[in-house]
Amino acid sequence: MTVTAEAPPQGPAPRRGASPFRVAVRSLGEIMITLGMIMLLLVVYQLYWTNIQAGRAQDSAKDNLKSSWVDGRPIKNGAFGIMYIERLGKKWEKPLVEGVDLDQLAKGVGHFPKSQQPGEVGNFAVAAHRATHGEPFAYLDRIQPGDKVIVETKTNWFVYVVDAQKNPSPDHPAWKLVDPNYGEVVLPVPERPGVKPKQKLITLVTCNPRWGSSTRLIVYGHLTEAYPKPGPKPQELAYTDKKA
Amino acid sequence: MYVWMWRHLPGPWFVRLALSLMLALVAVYLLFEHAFPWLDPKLPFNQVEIEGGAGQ
Repeated sequence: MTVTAEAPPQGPAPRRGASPFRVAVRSLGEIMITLGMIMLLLVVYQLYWTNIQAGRAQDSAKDNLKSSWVDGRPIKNGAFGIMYIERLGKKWEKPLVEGVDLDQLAKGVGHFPKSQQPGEVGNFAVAAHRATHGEPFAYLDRIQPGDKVIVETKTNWFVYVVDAQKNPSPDHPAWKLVDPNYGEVVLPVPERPGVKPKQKLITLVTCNPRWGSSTRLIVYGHLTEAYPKPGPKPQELAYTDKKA
Repeated sequence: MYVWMWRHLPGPWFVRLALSLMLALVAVYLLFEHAFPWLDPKLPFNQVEIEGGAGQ
């Protein structure tokens, strides 16, 4: 009796025409794996790539703006000012751009076009991303009443102070959540349609929860100081010099 | 699908491997430059717009 008498059964021999069922299952599996890879890439794109792109766009907008203030060249990239909020970081300074479309918000903090300019009577209302695209307002929920929001334009430094909300929540007195279609928060007198403004206010808007968009996080403040430029850097910005 | 592609790529195995990697890179490039930017505004966590804020 020889050992090599018969070839051991090896499952289906390599055939050209595999059964259609087999081909279908294999193709389905491959498509699933491919879709999974695309999803992973999308996560990489959102969490990583959009921040890199926005970081570059924001840096160049800021640099262009600062050099145009120095030598009077026309401003490229549409930035008209710089915003500083110490609570969000000693190095937190973001370009202010006109408009709140996604294109503009990728470059920095966007100004609602119908709202007032910085330092004007009325409401200077801005919005920024909470997640992805540079996420300037990622940690806006840490803001406290009394925190300073400083807006630098070509002509002035404007110092706004964050106000406590009416009926403040004990956990977060400085902000509240509103419905996404509650546009009254950016009116000249927020939440008071038709009322003539007397104060110089600021409204900060971002989305909430951080990775969702079911509500909007709203912060109010009012102007306390306006320093002219050229002039000494205001003491409120002294913290930016001590870069650790 | 991938078996079919592998069979239809020309050359010895290392040429096929190089070609496959190139195809994969092209696919990633197209996704990052075209597909994802198109999808981006449609994702929920990018919405900071407030109704009537820009319009009214």
